[in-house]
Amino acid sequence: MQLRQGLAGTDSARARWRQRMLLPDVPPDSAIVISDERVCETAARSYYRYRLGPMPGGVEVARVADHYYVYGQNRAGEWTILEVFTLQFHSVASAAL
Amino acid sequence: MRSSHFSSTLLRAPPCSTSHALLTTVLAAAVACSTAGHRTEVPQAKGADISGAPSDTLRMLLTGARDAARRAPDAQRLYLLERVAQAQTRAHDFAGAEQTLALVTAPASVGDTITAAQRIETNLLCTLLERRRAADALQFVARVRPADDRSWLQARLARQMAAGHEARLFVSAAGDDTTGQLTRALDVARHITLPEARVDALLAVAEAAAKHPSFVARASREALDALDGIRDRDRQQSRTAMLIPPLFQGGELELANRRFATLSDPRDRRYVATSLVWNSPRYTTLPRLSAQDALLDAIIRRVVDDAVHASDPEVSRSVLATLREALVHAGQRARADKLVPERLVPSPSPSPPVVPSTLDRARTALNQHDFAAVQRLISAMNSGEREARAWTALAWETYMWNRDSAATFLERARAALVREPIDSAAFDAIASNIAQYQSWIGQQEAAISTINLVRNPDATQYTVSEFGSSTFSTLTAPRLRTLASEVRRPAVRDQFFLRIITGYLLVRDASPSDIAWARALADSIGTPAVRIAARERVANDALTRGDSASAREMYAALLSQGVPSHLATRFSAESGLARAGGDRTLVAWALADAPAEIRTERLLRAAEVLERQLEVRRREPRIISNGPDMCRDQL
Repeated sequence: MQLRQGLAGTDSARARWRQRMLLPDVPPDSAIVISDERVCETAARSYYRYRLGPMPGGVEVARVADHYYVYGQNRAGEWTILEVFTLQFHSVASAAL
Repeated sequence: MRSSHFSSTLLRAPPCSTSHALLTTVLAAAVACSTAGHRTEVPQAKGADISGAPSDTLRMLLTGARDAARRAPDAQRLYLLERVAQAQTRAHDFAGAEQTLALVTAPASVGDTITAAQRIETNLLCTLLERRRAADALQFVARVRPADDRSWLQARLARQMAAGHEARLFVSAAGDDTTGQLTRALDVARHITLPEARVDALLAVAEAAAKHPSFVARASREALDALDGIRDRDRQQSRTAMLIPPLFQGGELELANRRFATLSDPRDRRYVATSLVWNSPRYTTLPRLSAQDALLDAIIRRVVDDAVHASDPEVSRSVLATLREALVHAGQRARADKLVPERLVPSPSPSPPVVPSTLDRARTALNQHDFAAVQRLISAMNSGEREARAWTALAWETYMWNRDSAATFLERARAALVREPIDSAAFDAIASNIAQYQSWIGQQEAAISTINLVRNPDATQYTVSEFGSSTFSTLTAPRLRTLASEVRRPAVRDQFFLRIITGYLLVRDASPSDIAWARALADSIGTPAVRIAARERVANDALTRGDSASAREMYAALLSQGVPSHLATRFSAESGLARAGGDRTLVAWALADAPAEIRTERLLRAAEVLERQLEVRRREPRIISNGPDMCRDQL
């Protein structure tokens, strides 16, 4: 939902956010929610790779163009981390939402 | 089923209030019936334990919930049992929670994801520690089966012993210092049987021991020994990477170097370099500084080499930029310039510069009072939806200094919206938004007219609930009732009736006729969800005015009607009933015959309400936090 809002925004602040999150200038419905279990499992393993303990749960994965956007339970204080991966699951950006 | 080891503590209950004694009698009979032939033990002690134990009533409600959850359909059983166990833990019925835990037989975990049983165990352990019951916590951990679950729990315990707020609980009677805590934590960690949990526990202890390099070295060396037992190769690699910074910090440079050489995944090498750089201020006081510097340089060079040769330029840029930024941030600009010079960091892939949008330019024109330019720019959008959104946004930014202009902008927004067909959900959302702003600036007739454009009543809920709430409003109940009669859709009109009740009739100085009108209006509402909300508001009002008898009657009637599940989270008739002195009615409602899953929900809800009452009576603080919990959320 946040991704789609980011894609839908037309003002300069949204445009800067899109640039930072490597989001191309595409329509909001270009964000595809991923339900393929294998992709989700790889995404979860990448997202939680350096977290101690068992994985706390699943992750939400969306794909926009050549990136996966993964949102789970990794926290930075009160914020939750959204991580951007390439299609080969190399982390290339992140944001605390 | 696991045996209870907490009962002796739990039954240390002081004399109780009369109402709880009566409740216990009611419950004893009811639970005995509900378990259909299974004799239920009724504890002899009654009432709330001021020391934190649950009341008999609360414990029996939760036991009833567990019995009901066991009979729930397969698809819901596990979920309900987990909720019961968590509620028992919250209510400090630790013995009950452990018995429920024994019934939670979860399907095999997907990957190494935490299971329902592990979540219950974690919460139980952390709650026991918070209650300063360290001995009970240790005994509980020792009882947990299977062994893998116990291992993860021991890992959490070790971490809490090393660094949690509860660490001082484990200090010996003679008293010892931080090293004593760390020694005990290390001792727990090294006895963990599951290698994955042992390694993670030792890593957590090493992290907690940051100020004691000898402990860091001991913990990381022991973790290293356990690494080979990890079955998943990928996890083994990530843990190897995570061990290198503590080895480095503990002065085990040769080991760190050898292990770094075994990392085959560039992601892990990147993790090591970035982690070392971020933590480098910690290392400046350590011996063998030059050797550490040399190793850190070698690691950074290797990661820079990975990045330069990465096939994906985006990955290359991300690695180099992050590393350089970390070095500069850690006060090592000279090292950054030497190892990751700026010229090495590729520029971001060319993307068009951020240019002011049409809306931004319209805003600028508006700030210069150039209305002709505003009109021209927005018309040039050539899309009814975008124009409507733009005019609405400008109206909201304008009304504070020019209400007439805002009203005009909202009229234009409405006109743009109806000009061409668009997606119905988007249409409803925009129309409702326009109506909300029209009402805010006091244009009530215009707002009603715009609300009549909305097709889905769900889209108007917020707008109507806020109708006429600004200081620009001169509405009264009769005036709003007249306006409501102009609302076309009955479901939206009902929302207006609710608004009249909550915002205009049941107010602080309401007259008896206002109250009577509110009750009649609530009864006239046709939409079930809105009618329930209105009647609940009327009951709340009676309670506030001290008419407990009427309030009890109204809450009980609401509960007996049943509440649609989508309203359950906003519905508070159960707590209202308890506050109005209707505890017995509440308990009887929860225990009444119903399908198992509904009965479980009701018993849980009743228990939650009574637990809250106990908390208030004991003057216990309720901690609401939006940050991660050190014990439950982090190892």
